[in-house]
Amino acid sequence: MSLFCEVPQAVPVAVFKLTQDFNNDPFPNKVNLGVGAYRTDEGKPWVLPVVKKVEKIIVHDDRLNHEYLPILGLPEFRSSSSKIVLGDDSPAIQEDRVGGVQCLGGTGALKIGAEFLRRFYNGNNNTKTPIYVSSPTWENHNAVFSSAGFEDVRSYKYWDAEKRGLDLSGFLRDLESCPERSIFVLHACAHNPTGTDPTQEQWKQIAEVMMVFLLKTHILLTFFVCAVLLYEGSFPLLLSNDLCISHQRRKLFAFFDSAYQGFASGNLEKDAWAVRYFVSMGVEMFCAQSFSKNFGLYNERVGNLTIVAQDADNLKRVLSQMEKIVRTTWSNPPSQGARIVAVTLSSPELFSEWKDNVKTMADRVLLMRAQLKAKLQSLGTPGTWDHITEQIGMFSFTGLNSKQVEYMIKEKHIYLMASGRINMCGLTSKNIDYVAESIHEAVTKVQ
Amino acid sequence: MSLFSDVPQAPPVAVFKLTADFREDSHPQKVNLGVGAYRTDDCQPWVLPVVKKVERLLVEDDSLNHEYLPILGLPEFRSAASKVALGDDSAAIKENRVGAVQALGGTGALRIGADFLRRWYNGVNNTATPVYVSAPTWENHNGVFADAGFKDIRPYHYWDAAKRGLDLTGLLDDLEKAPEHSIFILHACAHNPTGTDPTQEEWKTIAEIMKRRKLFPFFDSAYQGFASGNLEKDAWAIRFFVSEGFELLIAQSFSKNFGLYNERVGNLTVVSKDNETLTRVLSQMEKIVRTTWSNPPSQGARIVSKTLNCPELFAEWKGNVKTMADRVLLMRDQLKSKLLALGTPGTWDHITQQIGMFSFTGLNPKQVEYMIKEKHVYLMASGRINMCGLTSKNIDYVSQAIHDAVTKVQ
Repeated sequence: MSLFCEVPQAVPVAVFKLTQDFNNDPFPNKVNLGVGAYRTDEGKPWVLPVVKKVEKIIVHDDRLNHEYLPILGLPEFRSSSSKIVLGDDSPAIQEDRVGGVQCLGGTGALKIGAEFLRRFYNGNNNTKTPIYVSSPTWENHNAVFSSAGFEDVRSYKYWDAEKRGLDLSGFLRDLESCPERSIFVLHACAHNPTGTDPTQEQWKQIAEVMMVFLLKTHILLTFFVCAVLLYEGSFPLLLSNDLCISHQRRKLFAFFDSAYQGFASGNLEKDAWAVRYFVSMGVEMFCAQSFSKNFGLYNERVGNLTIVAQDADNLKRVLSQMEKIVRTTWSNPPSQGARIVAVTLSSPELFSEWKDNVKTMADRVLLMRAQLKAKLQSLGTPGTWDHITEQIGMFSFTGLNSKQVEYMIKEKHIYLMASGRINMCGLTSKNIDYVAESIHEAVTKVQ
Repeated sequence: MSLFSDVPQAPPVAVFKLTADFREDSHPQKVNLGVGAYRTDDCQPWVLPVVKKVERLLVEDDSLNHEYLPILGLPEFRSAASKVALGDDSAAIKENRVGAVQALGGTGALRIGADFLRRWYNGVNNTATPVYVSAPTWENHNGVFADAGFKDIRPYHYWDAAKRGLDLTGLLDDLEKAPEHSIFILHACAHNPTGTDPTQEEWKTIAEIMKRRKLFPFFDSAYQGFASGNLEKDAWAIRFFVSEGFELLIAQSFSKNFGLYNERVGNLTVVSKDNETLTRVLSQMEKIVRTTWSNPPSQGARIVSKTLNCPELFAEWKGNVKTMADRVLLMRDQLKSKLLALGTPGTWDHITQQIGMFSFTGLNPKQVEYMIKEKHVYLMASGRINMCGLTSKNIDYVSQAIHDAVTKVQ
């Protein structure tokens, strides 16, 4: 009798099961629009040319060895990663209140951040702090936070299926009505799975509801600022760092998930706008960064947890506790991917080459979006298809319902998620007609 | 007011603090006998020649890409790693009841195993199951199991300070008295920090009691090949337990025996009763991995896999491993001779009887402090030294320092 006879079979992760089914399908025209990885127009994985170049540089550098990295990771990787998301000229970085923890991809960054917050945020070991994830969200968000010990993972309104866009009023209502100090997992850009991001104006509204505003002002101006606040409601002002008074709003904690910086619009700064805006509000927050997609380094697990704290002293204590958490999880992180990224980001030439590679990927996605929409419109497929080009990043929420998705998979051998999410990278100049026609059939034949 | 104003400063990990202090020390003859990594006779880190060779092969291989590995890791790595531990001719492998999870070094393997056991062993979510670790043990064992949710982590007798050897009676007594179904963390070979392993006969006795008392073996195997220079010899205890029919877990690390410390190459080998159980166990381990690191890093696993799966490279690797093990054995030999020649009080046989990277010198905390402060020889407060830190150039200085510590400080 096995010690493990009662262990139940776990359900496979949906997106990998989809790829498995795709792999097993012998149909010659099959298309995989499931798992989120970039593909070339030949439908192949793409090792970025700059990555190939840097790998060769690394292997021939005899000064390098395989000694353990520090627990928090390769220092030059951590600092250049945080710079990439916050900006070279970030005041928070200049004020020494930004730190990074090198982690195992975006997942690892979320995990370490979640483990830290469960232990130290909103009281000690407060597992009851609500965690809000968007509805819908990346399927792993929920599980990362619950396995870190959070008992109350909830959803906030996000996707409006009817209008095929952001349900901003629902989102704001959830922000207004949730318990204070709740943690909100926000997608920095290229929302997964909907591809729908708030506009800059909408982000400002979101931030306004969430924040603890830290107003830094000269003593002489304190009274003036208070008067302004009372008159206007809430308005962020960052004047100097002599005195701190806080104007409390809903005190919600922002935990950004940034997996597509550069990949979404093709522009690093543009894709980091929301994160930088929140930082400029003076709040303490986390940002889980992944370099899986924008460096195509999926399997080397390159991630960074950027921490923005109030000051260097708080940062130091926070990092010391993160070290403890890392030590019992993976001890210290893997070197190869972090080295590739660090070498690239720290060399102006390689950095520039990388940005081009990223733009190559982003541009191909934009091209496929434009072409898919155009073909659906010319086929006269019922419904509106503007969302295909309005959405951003790797994914599109087509609006296909589960029956239509089933039709696509079973009858047309086109594999997509039950939610109707497609990976634009799976489209190529060779398969786009077939896919467009299949969507047309699904929409017209299946209700 | 910061959200984190109440977050206390955590104390640094002792072994890294020691190295940090060593770095800052300007004394010309300073010696670092702290952290466990191999050093050449020039006191330099050593990238194994076979590793360098394989890294070049990989970078030139245009058929490779960076697509996500499966959640459980690179298949050819997992099977080759389990084979190295259990043997090519392992009956359990032939019976299809051995599986593996590629993990982040030995730590990651221990963590996934611990997370799994806490959820699924001895009832559902039984955090009260006692977890026994040796006294002393690697400083991180306790933290890994505690963070996985186990509430009752206890020591089992292991090191006998008076006789400088294994406290077998105490160990066996703890096995007899432990609650049934307790989990025991066993060091497969080259016990860290004492360097003292049970003999084969002693392992047999340990296994007999564990089987009778229904105790669960969780092996930590971080030094296979590195300890004696022979892979089979260093895996004897594991293979014996498997042949006795235990279901067990083995956390394997390739940090030391491949010198791949920073690529985090580990493997959690799972030996279960049958294939059907194995499938269910691995499916639950997938769930745990998915919320921890999603899927593991490729580089280190590819290097190890390519090496283990190619007869020529495998032979070259074994040669590299023997190089490291032999240098350690030489340093053990020389340190003991020099202490004997100096007439340093006490017995020093344990230096050559102990095995692997570490030696528990028997120096007490005051003597250790003297070594660090007066002699600039850095070692752990427990008296543990890393033999790899010794070289032909510093061994006289170190022997003399130990002699001084023992004779001048009580």
